[in-house]
Amino acid sequence: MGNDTAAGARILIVDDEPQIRKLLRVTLAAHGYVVHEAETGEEGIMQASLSPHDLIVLDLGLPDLTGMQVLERIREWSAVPVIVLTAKDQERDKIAALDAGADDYVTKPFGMGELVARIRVALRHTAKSTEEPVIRSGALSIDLAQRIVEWHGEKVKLTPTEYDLLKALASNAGKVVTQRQLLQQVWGSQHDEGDSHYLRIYIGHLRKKLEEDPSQPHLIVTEPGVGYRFIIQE
Amino acid sequence: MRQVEENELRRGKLTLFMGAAPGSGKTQAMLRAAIREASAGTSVRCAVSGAEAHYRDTRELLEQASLPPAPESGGDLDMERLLELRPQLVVVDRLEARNSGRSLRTKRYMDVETLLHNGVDVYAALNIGHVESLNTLAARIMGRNLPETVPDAFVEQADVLRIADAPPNEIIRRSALRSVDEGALSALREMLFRFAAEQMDSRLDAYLKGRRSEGGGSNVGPWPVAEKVLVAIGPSPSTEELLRIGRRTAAALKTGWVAVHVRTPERPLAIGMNRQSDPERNLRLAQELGAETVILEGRHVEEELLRFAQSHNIRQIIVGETLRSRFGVRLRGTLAEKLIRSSRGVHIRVVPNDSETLSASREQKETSRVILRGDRQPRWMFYGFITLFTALLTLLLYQYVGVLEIVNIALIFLFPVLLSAVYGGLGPSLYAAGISVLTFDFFFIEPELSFTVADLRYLISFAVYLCVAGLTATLAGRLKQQAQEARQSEAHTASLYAFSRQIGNVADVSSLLDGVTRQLAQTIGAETSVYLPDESGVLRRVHTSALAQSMDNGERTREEEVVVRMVYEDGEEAGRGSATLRELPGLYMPLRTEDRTYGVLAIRLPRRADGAEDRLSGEQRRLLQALCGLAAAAIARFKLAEEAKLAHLTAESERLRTAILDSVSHELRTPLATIIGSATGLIENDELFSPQDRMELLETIRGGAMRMNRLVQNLLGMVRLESGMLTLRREWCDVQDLIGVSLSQVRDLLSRRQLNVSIPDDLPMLRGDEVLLEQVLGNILGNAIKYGPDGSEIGIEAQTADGRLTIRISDEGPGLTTGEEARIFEKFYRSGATQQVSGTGLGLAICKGIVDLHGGEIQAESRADGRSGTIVTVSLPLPESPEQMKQRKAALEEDDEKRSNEDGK
Repeated sequence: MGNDTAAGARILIVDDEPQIRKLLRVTLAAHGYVVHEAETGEEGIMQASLSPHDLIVLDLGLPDLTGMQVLERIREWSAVPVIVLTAKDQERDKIAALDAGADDYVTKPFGMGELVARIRVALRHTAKSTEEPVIRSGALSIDLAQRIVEWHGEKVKLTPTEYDLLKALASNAGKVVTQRQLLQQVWGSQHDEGDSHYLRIYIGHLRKKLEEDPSQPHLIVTEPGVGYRFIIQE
Repeated sequence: MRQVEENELRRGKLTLFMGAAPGSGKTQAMLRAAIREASAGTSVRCAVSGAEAHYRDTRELLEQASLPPAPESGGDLDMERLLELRPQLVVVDRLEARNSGRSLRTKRYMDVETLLHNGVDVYAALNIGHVESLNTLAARIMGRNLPETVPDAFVEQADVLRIADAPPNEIIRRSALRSVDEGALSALREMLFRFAAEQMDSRLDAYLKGRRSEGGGSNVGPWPVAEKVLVAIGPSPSTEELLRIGRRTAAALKTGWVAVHVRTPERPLAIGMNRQSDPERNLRLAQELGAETVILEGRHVEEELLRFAQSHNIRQIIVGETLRSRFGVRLRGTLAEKLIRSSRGVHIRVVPNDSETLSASREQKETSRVILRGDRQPRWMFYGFITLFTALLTLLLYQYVGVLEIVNIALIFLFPVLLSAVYGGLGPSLYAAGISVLTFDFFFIEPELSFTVADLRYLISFAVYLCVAGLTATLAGRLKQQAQEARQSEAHTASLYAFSRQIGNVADVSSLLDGVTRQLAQTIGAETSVYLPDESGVLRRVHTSALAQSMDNGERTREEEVVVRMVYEDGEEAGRGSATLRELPGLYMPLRTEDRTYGVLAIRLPRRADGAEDRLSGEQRRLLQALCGLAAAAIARFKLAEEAKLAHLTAESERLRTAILDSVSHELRTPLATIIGSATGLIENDELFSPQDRMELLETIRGGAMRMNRLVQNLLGMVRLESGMLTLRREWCDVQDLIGVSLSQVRDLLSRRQLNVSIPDDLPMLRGDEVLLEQVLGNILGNAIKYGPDGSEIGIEAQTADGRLTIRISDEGPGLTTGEEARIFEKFYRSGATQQVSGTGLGLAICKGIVDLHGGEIQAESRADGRSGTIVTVSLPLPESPEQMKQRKAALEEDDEKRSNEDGK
């Protein structure tokens, strides 16, 4: 865990299930995080306001407040990264939470590795105060300052839309970006999910230009029903 | 609390104060009794108003008593308020009075009935002459009409009968009845006493009977067989008197009575059409008077009556004297004579037809006369026509006397006779015969232009004329009547037939009721509504014909509901023309089969032109009953079908539940066993395992949990699909991406199986739910991996054709056996060849559900290329043609190109 940039980070877990809390407490502590727990939404909000946390893991199915309410109330005064835990049948809640400012999501039942990876990404994004000028992933490098994209060392010609889309994804590397977020960042605020075919077409273009096998992408991965994730390959 | 409940359940007690004539002091007696009750603490409401108290002493008594008055509205009792007040006792005078007509209860005794139903005791006063069965007799004694009556059945149910009596001269003094002498009053008093005695008698009987049956049957001899009384009903209005006599006789003998009408095929002529309704009216009256009514068919009235009497243990027949038209009397003897001649031990009581019969019968004669006259009106024209025709004929024939023989002329003169017989009936034909004879005599028979007949043989011709006229008219009349009857009954049969055919076809109750109401509107002209019980057993009006709706108002509806509930509970009809509540403006028929009442049909009878509400003829009633029977049978059929369906559904769900349990318990237990086993092993014997062993056990746990997760997801998916909770989030989907994501889901399971993906580059986009479609492809791929052996090939192929996108996924597994291509998409179905592979049989069912939601199709077949294996084909509709898609893409790219150039500048 030595290279973990955020080791010792304080994580607040808001979940009503003791079993889940116990699991998270044990595993996250083993990864070197300091873990606090809250059983209800109200308690979670209170704890979050009493002492600063570096990240909050929030269950969307709480008994008192909905996870959405907790998220909205925390977002009123804090930009702390929030990872939501959802069940399979809460597709809409998941997207709503992401659009309302959650940083990422993990669907129950989840593998511990997946959750820890999401936590790391979220912590890394807050740690970086200024964007790095160059983003690299595998054979790809994106020079944001000069708007130059290179693949296997060769310059790739991208249209402005394709570039904007790639930039939106890459600057959130490791995090899921919802369709709405992408549409609004690239095409403008008047676009929403109804225009998702634009997005599909351009993701297709990007994959054709940047993936080894466009039918089995490794760089720009689809999160079904939610959006896309730009994967940083070492 | 208990007290209140008892009050609600208990029926009120009716105390009747009866007098012989006005002035007998019954109201006073009643008021005194009420005052006693009031002073004993009973809450009393007095409905005797000052206006109704005719006599000074009564008025004084009323003022002095100062009983709290009952609420009234417009001269009638205000029942709603009265029932709200809930007094223990209500005092009512003049029980026979008619209400002002705003209320559904047209008569005061109905108000009283309602009060009794609601557990309120009633004191009521009534004169003997207003009792239905004694009404005519009393009217004759008093020499004036007593128009209002109270049914015997109501009077008989009185719990206490009190007689208010005074000496005749006293009564006359008080009431100032100048027209009534002491003799008449004595007769009325005697009537009253006899009535009271009969009441006592029947109560004593009932008591004794009750005692006997309580005391066990061993030493009880056979109860003497009741000698029933039979009243022969003819069409004439005087039959009413016969019926009243029948009722009194039966009451005196304490036995039942039967009113019998014999329908004969030969009926006198044209006026028979009016008569047709008369026996019906009399039969109805008989029913109202408590008789059992029977209609017999036969040629000879007396034979039918006697046969019926013998077979029904009847010892007395009451018959009117002139039941036949006067023509027949002398030739064949009256019915009474014939009955007496062949009576064989049955008593025959003959009641002379009293032309002075008062009251109702006179009233009815009036109406029937009116009808006759109304019917004859066109016939006067007919007489004129005959006269004209004969005159013309005479004029014509007179010119050809020489050419034509006198015999021929005589024959030609038969024409007007025959014509009028056929078209006009008896009267016109006799008239035609008369004037034919006269003109023939006057103009053609020697000496001409004189009525004198020289040759007396011509008198025979004249007689023949009259006979021909009479016979032809009779025959024609009979034929006409038969035709009419046949037409009518055919119409009824046809309507019944049509209706029964119609209800054989209807698919639901509401269209059935629609049919019933339409049919009734056509055949009877009545507006109807239908009440059926809902799930909780409360009657609701479920169907109303349009006009009936417009006739609605609040009070009527409420009162109708009360009657309807009563009819539903009793299963007996009520309302106009039936045995109960016959003063109601509507008729209420139960829709019942032999064992159950399914609902109630409320019929609002059409109003006649003069405002009176019509009664139904017997024919219409029978039709109505038949229709109700048919409707009830149909409703019963629906109910049974519903129940059968429910039973089937229950069985089906039972089967499914078993399947679910089997599948789920197996599918859950296997992974659970591995998880629990591995976990306990690790916890208890940690030190025994090498790191590799430990890893293996942990992987087993993960594998089991994953498998359980898949099962739970499938189950939840199925439940959501089945409950209709699954709504599609339709979005644009890139097929390539769909396949890519589903492949990434199953990549871990692939091991050494070969993937062969063939997707064209320019596939158009779909509109669908990305997550669900990925689940479909994931499930199919999962099956292909599960059933295909290691190292086998899995093919994925996508293409577009005819506006549809088709994805084919093939494996090299065992394939399908013939006949199960469709079945594998059923819930919990597992192919026989793959029983040893674990699975719930839900995956493909979910796939089918999702594809169906998208308007697509999913099919499975065995491979046809020689290799074993299955091909599953999913085909989904495309929202736009590939050309449209290309254009859209091109436009988008052009736009992008433009932006790129702008950036470049």
